[in-house]
Amino acid sequence: MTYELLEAKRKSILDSIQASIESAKKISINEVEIFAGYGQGGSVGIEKNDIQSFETYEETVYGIRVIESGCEGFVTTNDGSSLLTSIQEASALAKAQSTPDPDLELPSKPNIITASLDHLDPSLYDLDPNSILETAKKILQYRELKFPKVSLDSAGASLSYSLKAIGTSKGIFRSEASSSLSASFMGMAIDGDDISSFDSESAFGRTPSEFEENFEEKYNLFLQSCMNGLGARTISSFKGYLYLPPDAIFSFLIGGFLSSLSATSIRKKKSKMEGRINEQVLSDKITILSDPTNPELALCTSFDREGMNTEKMSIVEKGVLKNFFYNHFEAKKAGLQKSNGCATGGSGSTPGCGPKALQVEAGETEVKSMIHPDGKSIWVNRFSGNSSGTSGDFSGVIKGGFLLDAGEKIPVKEIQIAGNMYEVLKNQIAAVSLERELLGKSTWAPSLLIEGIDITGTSV
Amino acid sequence: MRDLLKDCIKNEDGFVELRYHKKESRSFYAEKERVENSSVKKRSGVGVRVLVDGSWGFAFTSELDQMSIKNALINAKNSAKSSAPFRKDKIQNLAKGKLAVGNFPGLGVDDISSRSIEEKIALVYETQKKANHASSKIQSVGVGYSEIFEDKTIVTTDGVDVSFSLVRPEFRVSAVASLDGTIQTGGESTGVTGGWDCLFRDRKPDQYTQDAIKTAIDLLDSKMPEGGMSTVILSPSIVGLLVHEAIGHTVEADFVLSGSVAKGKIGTRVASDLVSLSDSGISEYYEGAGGTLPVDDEGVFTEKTNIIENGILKSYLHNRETASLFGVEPTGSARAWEYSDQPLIRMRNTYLHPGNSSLDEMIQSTKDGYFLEGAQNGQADSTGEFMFAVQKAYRIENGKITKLLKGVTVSGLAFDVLQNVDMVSKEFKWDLGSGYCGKGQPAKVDAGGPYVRTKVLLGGSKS
Repeated sequence: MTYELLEAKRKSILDSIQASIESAKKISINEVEIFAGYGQGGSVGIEKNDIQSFETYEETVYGIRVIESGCEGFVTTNDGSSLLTSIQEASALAKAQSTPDPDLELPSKPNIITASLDHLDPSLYDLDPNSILETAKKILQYRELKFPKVSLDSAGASLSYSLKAIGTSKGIFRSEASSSLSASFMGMAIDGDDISSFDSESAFGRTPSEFEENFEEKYNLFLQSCMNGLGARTISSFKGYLYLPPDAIFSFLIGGFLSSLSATSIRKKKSKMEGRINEQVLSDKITILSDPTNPELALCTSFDREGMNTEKMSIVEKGVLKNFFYNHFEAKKAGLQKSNGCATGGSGSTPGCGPKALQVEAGETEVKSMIHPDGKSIWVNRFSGNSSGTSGDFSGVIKGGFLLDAGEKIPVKEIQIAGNMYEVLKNQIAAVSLERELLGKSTWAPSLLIEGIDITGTSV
Repeated sequence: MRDLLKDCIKNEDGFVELRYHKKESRSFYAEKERVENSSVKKRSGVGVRVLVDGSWGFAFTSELDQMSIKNALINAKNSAKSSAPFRKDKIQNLAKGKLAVGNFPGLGVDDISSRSIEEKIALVYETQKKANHASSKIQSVGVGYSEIFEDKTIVTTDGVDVSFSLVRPEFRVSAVASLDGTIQTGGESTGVTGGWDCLFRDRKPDQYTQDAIKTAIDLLDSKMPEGGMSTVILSPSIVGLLVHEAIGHTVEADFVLSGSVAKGKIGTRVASDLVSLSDSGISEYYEGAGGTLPVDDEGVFTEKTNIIENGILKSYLHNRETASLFGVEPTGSARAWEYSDQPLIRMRNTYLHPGNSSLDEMIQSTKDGYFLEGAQNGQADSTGEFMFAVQKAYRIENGKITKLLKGVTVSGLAFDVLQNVDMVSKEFKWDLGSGYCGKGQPAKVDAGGPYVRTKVLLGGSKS
C-alpha cells in the first residue's frame, strides 16, 4: 500500500466520522463518539509443516458510542455506508434504559493535543504482499534443514497496514497509522513417542531489516525451545523456588495484579488494592511503570480509546502502589478532573481501564545466580491455568518447564503450582534480575525468582 | 443472497466456495443497580475461498454486491496462484460427503428476535436489583444477557447451495463476596442454541444469582485442597471440559497431521470400556446444546461423529481436505467464526455417553476423593496433557461429601484419565453452553455428559 493510499484512507475515514457526527447533531443526537479501526494486508498461514493458505484483507470496523442523558448505547459495525443508522441505533439502545448516571459523558477535548505517533516506514509502502511468501518459505525450509523434529502446528507471516481514528461530538479528531511485518510460530518437537509441550514465539518489525533480525532471533529461540522440551520426565512434589524468565512473569502474577488496579474493579470493591495508594503492596524489589509515549516501543500511542493524551506513569515504585487506571467515567466517579489516559479497547468495545506499554524495572541480581539458588527450583517456560485478580488465587500447570537441581537443567512434565499472587508478589520474591528482555518490541521485563512455592508432581 | 452468490460462481471452472455470513450480537449487563452495557455488534460480508493448483487462496469483502464479491474472488485466486509454488503437498481432492442443499431456519430465532430491547434490559436490571442485598458479605453482583444471531449462505462450484440461521442466547451471573480482606467470586452461566424458554428451562434467572452468591460466600472460608494424584467425581460440566480439552482437540485431524498423541491410534484402546464419546452438530438427548448447527462452514451436513466406542478410538474430526487425505467422509466439523475467517476443524457438541451407575452410588463407594463442580477455563497440549480449572472442590471422605474447598486446576494425560474411568452415571446434561473454544478464532461449543469417576492430578498445597 502506498503512502498516498494510506493517507487517502485516513482522510476518508476521518471525513466520514465527522460528517456522521454532524448529521447526528441535526437530528438531536448530540453526544456521539466514533472509533474506527482499519486494517489492510496479506497473511500466509502454515499448518502441518506446509503452506495452508494465503489471504489478503481490507476492512474498517466502527465502534459508535452514544450517550443520552447519562445512559449509553454502543454499536459496532463494519458497514461504513450507514454510520448515521448505527448512531440512531446506539441512541435507541441508550434511550431504552432508565438508570442514568450523571458522570457518564464524553470527555472534553484536551487543551493540548500531543503529536501522533505514526509508525510508517517508507520501506514498507510499496512492499509486495507476496514477499511474505518468501518468509513462509524460510520458516519451512529452515525447520526442515536444521530442526526436522519440530512440527509446526500453526505458523504464519503477515504484512499489515493499520489505522485507528477517533472523532467525537466534543471536538476530538485524532488518528494514528502503522505498518509492520510479523510472524508467529506454534508447535512442538516429536521424537518417536516423545512429544514436547507446545511452544510459541512471535517476531515483529517496522522495517524489513528490523523484522529479519527479530525473525532470526525469535524463530531460532522457538525451535530450540521445542527441542529442549524433549525427554521431559515426571517429578515428585516439593516446596521450592520458581524461576520465571521475562516472558513468564505476566501470565499469573503481574498480569493478575495489574487487573486489580482497574478503577472499575476498585469502585466496585472487587479489588484488594482499594484504598491502598502509597502503601507497600508488593516486594520493594518491584517497580512497574507504563510508558506509552516512548516512540522506541512498538505499542506506543499518543492517545487512548477516548482520544485523551497518554502519559508516562508510575504504577508501583519499589513495591509502593502509585496509581490506578482511569478512563473518563471512572475518573469522574473517583472525583478526579480527568482520566490518566488509560482508556482501553478498540472499535469492538466501550472504553475499559488498563495500562499501556508496561515496563518492569530491573533488579540487582544476575540471572546466572538466580537459576541455581540454594535448593531445587522449577524454570517456568509457560503457565497454563487460572489466576484471579480478584481473590489473587492461582493454580495451573507448568508447560515446557525444567527442574534446576545441583547445577543440572532437566526437562519436566505434569507438574502444577498453586498459591496467591498477592502473597507471592509481596512476600515471596527472592530476586529480580539485573538483565531485562524487550518483549514484543514493547515491554522491558526482568526475570523473577520466587521462593516457597508448592510444586505438585506425579511421581511418588 | 443465494442467487447473488450462485451468479458470482456460475462461470467458474475450479473449486470456489462463497460464504455469506451475517452476525449480529446484542449484549446487556447490569451491576450496582445500573445498566452498564447495552450494545450491538454487527458484522457481515462474504468470505471467498478458492483452490487453485492444489493451494488455498482466501479473500473477503464486506460489500455485498456482485462487483465486490468478484473482486474478492480475483484476489483469492491470485493468492492461491502465488502460494501454490511454495506449497509442498498439493491438495489433490476434496472429500464430498453429504453436501447441503436447502434452507434451514434455526430454532428460537423468531422467539428471540421478537422480544424487545426493553425486555432484555429489564431481565438483567431486575435480576441484578433483586440480588443486591442478599448478604452483607456481597460486594457486587453482575448480571449479563447476550445473544448471537447468525445468517449464513454457502455456495460452492461442486454443489453446496444452502442457507441457515441460528440464535445463541446466553445468561451469566457473577458475584463477589468479601470478609476480613479475603475476596472470593462465584459465577453461574448458561447458553443454548434456541429460544428464551430453552435458555431458562433448568433454572430461572434468580436461581442463577442465588447460586453464584452462595458459591462466593461459601468459598470465603474455604482452604486449598492437598495437591497430588486424586480420585475425583466429575460433574457433567467438568466432564464436558475433560472431553473437550483432553480428547476433542487431540482428534482434530489438522492437529493429528501435525503429530498429536492420537495419531495412529484409530482402532486401538484409548479408554476404559465404560467410555464412549461423540461430537455432534445435532443436540443429542435433548434440544438446545450450545454448539448445535445444521451445516458446517464448508456446506457439509453435521452429524454425530463417534470418536470413541467402548474405549476404542474410532474417528477423528475432519474437514473436506483432511477427510480426503484420510480416505473418509468429512464429519461436518469445519467452522469459521466470522465471514473474514477461514473454516478450521472445530468441535461442536462434545459429550461422553451415559452409563449405568447413579451419582449416589459413586459418592458412597468413594473412600477418599473429591467431587468437582463448576467448569472454568481449560487448555490442551501437544503431549496429551490437559488442564482445566474448576470453581469448587468438595472433599469426599468415607463415602460422604464433607467440606467445600477452593477450586483448583485439574490436569492429566488425556488417554490415561479415560483409561482410569471406573464409574459412569446414568444422568446426562449439556452444561458448557456458555463456553467458547479458542483456536486462532473463537467457536461456540457445548459439551457435557454424565457424572464420571476417574483419577487426575489436582493442584494444591503441600501437606
